[in-house]
Amino acid sequence: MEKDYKKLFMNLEDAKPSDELFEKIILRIGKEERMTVAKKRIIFFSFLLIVSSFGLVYSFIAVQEALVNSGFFQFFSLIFSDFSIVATYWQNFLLTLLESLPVIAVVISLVMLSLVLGFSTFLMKDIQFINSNNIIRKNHGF
Amino acid sequence: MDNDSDEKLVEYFLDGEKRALEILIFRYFKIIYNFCYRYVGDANAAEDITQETFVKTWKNLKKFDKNKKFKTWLFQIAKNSCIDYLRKKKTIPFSRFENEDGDNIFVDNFVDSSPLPDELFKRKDLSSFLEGAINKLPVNHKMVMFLYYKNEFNFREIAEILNEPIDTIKSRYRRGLISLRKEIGDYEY
Repeated sequence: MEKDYKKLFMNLEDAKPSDELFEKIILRIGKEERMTVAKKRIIFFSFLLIVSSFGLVYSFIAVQEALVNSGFFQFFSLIFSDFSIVATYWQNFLLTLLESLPVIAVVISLVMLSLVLGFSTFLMKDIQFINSNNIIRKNHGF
Repeated sequence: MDNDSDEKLVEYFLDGEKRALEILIFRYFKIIYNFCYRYVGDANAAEDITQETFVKTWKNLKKFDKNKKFKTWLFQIAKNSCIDYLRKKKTIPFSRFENEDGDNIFVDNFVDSSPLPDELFKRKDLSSFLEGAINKLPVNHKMVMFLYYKNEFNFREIAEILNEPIDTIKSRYRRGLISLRKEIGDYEY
């Protein structure tokens, strides 16, 4: 009897998957691999974004303090109070303005700003990648 | 590497050999697809579940117990993926997976052991006829019979795959045989 049923089941035709199924599986695993990497990157960039955001705030405060201490604001206000003198001696005025500019603090804050923007872009890209894959998974019933 | 055992290929993969996983997938994707197709009865869904099965397999390969058979473990993942899919689609009530084995001593112990009629095997449309008869069986009975006859698992392995006691599996097998016999017997050759 056992042999009969085995023979019977062997007569059943196998369901045929699409020709691309094997490739689809490999691609899907590749995508999941990238998802795993993206998740790790999200954690990494989130940490960097938080650190650089704090850095940006502190560098802005430092720039503001340096501008006050160097007298930059006072020189700059001459444009509004004594424009005719500034226009006459504009070359000297420009030089004085540049000399009073806290270059290092400004450069540091600009670097911080570009880091915050850069990390935000990377973070958004990874979040979008994961979201789009999650939508695909949901649409397929998983 | 192509002729290595499944368990050896898992080891190779864990050692960093990516091709080992590809060989494993190639070895089983059609079998798993067939299993999923029988379980959910939908070709497109079966493809999605097959993909999901292998993704889960890849994700959990590190947790694979090397003392177990890879094939049994893979079928376990496929079965769980099928159930997840059906639950989310809500196409079948959850109760269909449980509590369907009532204690009917007569049914559990009576199986017609007479050989199947020769006319049956002479039928030109045997495959489609059989397909129709098998599809009338409850899904749990059908899956036990498929795993036993088509995928050549023993009752212990089937119990492991379906996460059920071995007695339940044997009971389902017997009930499946009775139902199939009835379906085949009802037909006039």
